[in-house]
Amino acid sequence: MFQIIADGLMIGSVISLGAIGLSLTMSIVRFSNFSHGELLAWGAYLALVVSSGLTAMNDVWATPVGPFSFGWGLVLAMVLSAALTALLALLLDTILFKRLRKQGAITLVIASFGAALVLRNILLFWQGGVPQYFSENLQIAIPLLPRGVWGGLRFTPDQLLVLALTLAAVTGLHLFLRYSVLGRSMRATAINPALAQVSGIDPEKVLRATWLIGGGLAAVAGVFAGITVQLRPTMGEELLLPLFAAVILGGIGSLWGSLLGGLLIGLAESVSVATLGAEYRTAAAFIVLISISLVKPNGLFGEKS
Amino acid sequence: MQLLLGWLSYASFFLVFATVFAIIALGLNLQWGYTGLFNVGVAGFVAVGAYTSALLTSPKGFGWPVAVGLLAATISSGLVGLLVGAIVLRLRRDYLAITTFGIAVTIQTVANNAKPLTGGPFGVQFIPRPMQAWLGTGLVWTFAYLALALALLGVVYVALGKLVNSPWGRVLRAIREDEVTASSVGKRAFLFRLQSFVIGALLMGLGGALYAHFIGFIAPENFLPILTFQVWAMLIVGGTGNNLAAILGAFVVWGFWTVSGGVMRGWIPQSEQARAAALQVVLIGVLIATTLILRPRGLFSRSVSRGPS
Amino acid sequence: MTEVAPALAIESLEAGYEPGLSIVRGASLKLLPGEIVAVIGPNGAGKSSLVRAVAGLVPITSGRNLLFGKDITKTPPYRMVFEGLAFVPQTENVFVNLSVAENLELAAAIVKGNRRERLDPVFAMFPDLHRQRADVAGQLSGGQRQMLAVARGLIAKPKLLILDEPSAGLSPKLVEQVFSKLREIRASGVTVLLVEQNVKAALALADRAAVLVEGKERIVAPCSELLNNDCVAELYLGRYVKERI
Repeated sequence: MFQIIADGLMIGSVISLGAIGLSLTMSIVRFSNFSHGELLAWGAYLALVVSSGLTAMNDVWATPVGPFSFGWGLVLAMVLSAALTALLALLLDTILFKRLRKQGAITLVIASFGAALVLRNILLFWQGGVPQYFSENLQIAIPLLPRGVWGGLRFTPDQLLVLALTLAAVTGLHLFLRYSVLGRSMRATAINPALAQVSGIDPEKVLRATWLIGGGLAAVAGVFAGITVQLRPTMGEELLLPLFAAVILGGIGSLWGSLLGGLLIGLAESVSVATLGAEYRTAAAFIVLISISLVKPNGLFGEKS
Repeated sequence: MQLLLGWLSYASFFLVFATVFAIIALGLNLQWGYTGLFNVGVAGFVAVGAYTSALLTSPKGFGWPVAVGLLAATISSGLVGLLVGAIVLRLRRDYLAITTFGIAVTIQTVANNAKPLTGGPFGVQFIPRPMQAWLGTGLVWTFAYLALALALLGVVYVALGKLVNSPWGRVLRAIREDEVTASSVGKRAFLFRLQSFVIGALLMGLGGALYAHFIGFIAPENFLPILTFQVWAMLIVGGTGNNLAAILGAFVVWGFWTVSGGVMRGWIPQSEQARAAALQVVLIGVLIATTLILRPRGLFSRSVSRGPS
Repeated sequence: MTEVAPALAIESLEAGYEPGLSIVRGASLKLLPGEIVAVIGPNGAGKSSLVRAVAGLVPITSGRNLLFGKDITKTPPYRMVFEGLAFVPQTENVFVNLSVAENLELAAAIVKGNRRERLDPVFAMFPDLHRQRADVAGQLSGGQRQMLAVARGLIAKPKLLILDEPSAGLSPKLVEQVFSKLREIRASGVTVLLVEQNVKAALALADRAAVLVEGKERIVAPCSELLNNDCVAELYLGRYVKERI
């Protein structure tokens, strides 16, 4: 049983980080961005390209750091990928979403649907359909509980790191949103965009920051997904529904809501995998989504009144 | 002569697909253009219709006549629309989009995994083609099927026209145009929206069944989100709120899709066909984005109504 | 007679949300520094749209606005505070999820400068808000919320304060509290422009008033004159009120 929880937290960490970016977009830019999943995929693949490139230059980049399966190459690659993906998100806004803002949320959703298809297929075209991995190193799971005790509990060092980093990222973002001027401007814009402007907040600056942060977080989430599972061009599409479910469950615009929502969706998925098999995992996210939409549409910590 | 026959075959194939898409687009147009319902799960309803008719008419299924299959497909899709709509239509627009998307994904997942029922990833084969006994399998049959499809499209178009101009249609438009009042009208508005949603779903199911009986086999991979996107693209390019524009949009977008597909296949070597397909999607996506930016009203729509933003 | 430069000069302003559908139709108005001017008029006259256009929230199709001589017609709404213009909207004029202190601190953080220097004078002018500084804005009473909205406007030390129906939804006692605050604000050197539906209170507060009808000012005069002006009364108040004024 503990293993199910552990696996759930793992899946959940990836979903949480992606959901936070999506939640920010939905509350500040005010539309449901169906291309957010692709930012995770691109983040993962950009990191793969950089990491492979570094390793090609010098093997030492791939030498595993400590107990983990990856080397400093991937760390550097992740940072670079976060920056690049952030810029990709901003670019997408500049060439597409920004021009359609006057047309309303529906047009933006359709456009984002199309953007998702374009991004995913560029990835397919460029990388092909075969799954890839960041490293060939196998990880030995550390048994925290022997198999005899409630099914046991095993974690790999990679997984523990992912969980720890997710919590760190969320905490960092919380501090940013709470105490920095830009962070507070973003929150104000999410609550009341007109009043924010009248108070002196530049809406374009806030929007740019939202895309950059969302893209950066998505990239990190994508890299985490690549580390803990694998890289597939369809990974963005597969994560989209769980991401939306997590955002709505947690409440649009709530940082801790997205974290909790993501972890809960992860748990729901791991439970469904354990009971019904892996094929129906998206159905689990969907059932949570439908339930919360009907029962408590504002989510657990919904900020919007 | 061979060449001419080849061309005619290609053309009629193209037209059947375009007609089927047009019927589905009309369904979505009723939901979105006339009622303002943001259905991002079109593929799901099409799948329900296709699978229902396929399973009822195939020899391994019930072996029923095609006409019954078509009818059953339409009804079953409508029922799913009723069930989904009753639960989901109350939701805010964003939530409606996400939930309908989720429903389509779930339907596709079930189709992919419920092997005993749906054949899993292999889908349903040997779906009977209507009139095959009399007309054989050649060009004549294709023309006949095209005639059937066009006839159905015609019937649907006229029926929708009458519906939209009827008192029922006028109430619908009033509801769409003034959502604030509509939400305060509450139950009545909800029923109107539900009816519209169901009728749209009926048409999507019919389209799915027509597709199934034309091709002869279906698989879950025929009903991916990209299908939803294609239909939306047709409405966007054609222009919403106007049924004729929707039909023209269907033909134009399908034309673009087919031509770009053909060009890709011509240019790109056999071994890279998967990549060619990917590139084709990219092009279509760019086309849609450009249309949205440059001609938001669509190519054919002359009316102002675009649906609430 | 020496010409005093107006604090605000609205010149033949045309504005509206839809191009071709102007709500403000060639309105002109001048405010002298240190005045309180009220804009009154029938429903739908465009009073709100006029001040919102000055604040940059409604698209302006022609005409111009000068703030102490500087052309602010094309200034985006978020830059207005930096030009010295603060706008208090009629509804949704506080950040409901944030506390009183957070509301004010946010406003202070945006305009930079010493935080204490910005907040202390405002808290001094609104001691009740200081008392309630930890309370969430959404839970304040209507009157306190309005005070917070006005206080938020003052953080940036504006030269011109514009308010859209500050008395809306308030009891007469609370209206008097808010309005006496506005007098205090004027006394500290700020020019005040307000839109008001409550004609009686507005005429009692302001120095001058402009009657706006169908997007254009019809009468602009000192309030003492307007109180006895039949035209104003008939324009939209009806005889019943005319008798009561």
